[in-house]
Amino acid sequence: MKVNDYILFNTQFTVYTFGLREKITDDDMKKLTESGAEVVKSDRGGLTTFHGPGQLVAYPVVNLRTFRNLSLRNYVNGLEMIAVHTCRMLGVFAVNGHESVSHTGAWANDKKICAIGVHCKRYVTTHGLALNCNTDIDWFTKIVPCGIGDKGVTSLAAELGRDVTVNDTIPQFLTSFESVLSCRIMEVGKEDALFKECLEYTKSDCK
Amino acid sequence: MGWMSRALITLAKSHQAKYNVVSGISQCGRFSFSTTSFNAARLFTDKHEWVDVNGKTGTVGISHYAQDSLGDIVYAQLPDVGSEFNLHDECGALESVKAASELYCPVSGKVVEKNPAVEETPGLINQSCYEKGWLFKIDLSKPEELDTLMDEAAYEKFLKSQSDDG
Repeated sequence: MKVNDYILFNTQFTVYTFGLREKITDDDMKKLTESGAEVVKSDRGGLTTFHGPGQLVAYPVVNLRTFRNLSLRNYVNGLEMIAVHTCRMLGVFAVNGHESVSHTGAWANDKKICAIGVHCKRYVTTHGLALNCNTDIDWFTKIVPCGIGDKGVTSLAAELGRDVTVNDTIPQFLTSFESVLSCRIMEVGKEDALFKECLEYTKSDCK
Repeated sequence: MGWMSRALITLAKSHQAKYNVVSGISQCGRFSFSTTSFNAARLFTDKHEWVDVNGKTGTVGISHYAQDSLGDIVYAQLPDVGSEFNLHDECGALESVKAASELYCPVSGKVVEKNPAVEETPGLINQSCYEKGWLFKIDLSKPEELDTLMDEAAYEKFLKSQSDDG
């Protein structure tokens, strides 16, 4: 059994992040910092987004060269399919950006439910996707999520009219990931050596 | 920031059918481009950059395969004129839809010019990766490094070997 790749999860952030190509003014910074969240400029693709409690933040560190020699484009498409599939398993009929709305991510009732942003360095990916489970949508009113002004943001809980936690969502996410990318996923402990290495690697990508 | 509640392993290869990834080479129909005109001077790295040397100055870009793997490029972060790089240094980034990818310097040297057309219209890299979509020009400090790069025929062979064992 050869292990090459990891998925990290985190739900403890409360942070606004900017994408690679964004020029941030001091005013933008100030406005967002006042909200109480951290504000971080990252090196991922895509534009401004929010990460916080109630959101499934999955951060796959995958070597695309050894993982089926996937192109970056096919990998991003894969993440999108995984997000859509996860929502559908939970009863929310999400669609991907290409089906109805011309933007990457997963959408439910024309509102964004999952954001995607990836960085790739020597075939190894960082960042990933953020699916709103029972996120407080108010956080998104302070930004123009992903640079799209005319669409709203939603969550699984809002769409289903009942509480849906991150822990409720992770099993469906893992099943979708295994199915879409045709692989197997196993849980490892925090003491796992490769996991620690992985975590170290991710520290370099936020400035 | 507080990572982390759990980590998971993905097994890269299962016994299920291989994911069928269409390689860049077989998707040539999407754009008109000029790979068919064999350019003896153009040399490639295994990271899919190319350099075309004229005198002591090399013009740098990314290969057709690379632009196709990235998809539609929306942003090019190019190195500043005057900056110096060693072989394989990170020297910029390209962003396609929702994904940013590092750019590596194919030779050591000093950047003498960058392509403003590509900064203005990053899609030029998709449309014309070997001509209008060049990225920057660099004065070579170690021309002997060129011996380690692949000519177009060797690069095509390299791409084929990649897709075979992937």
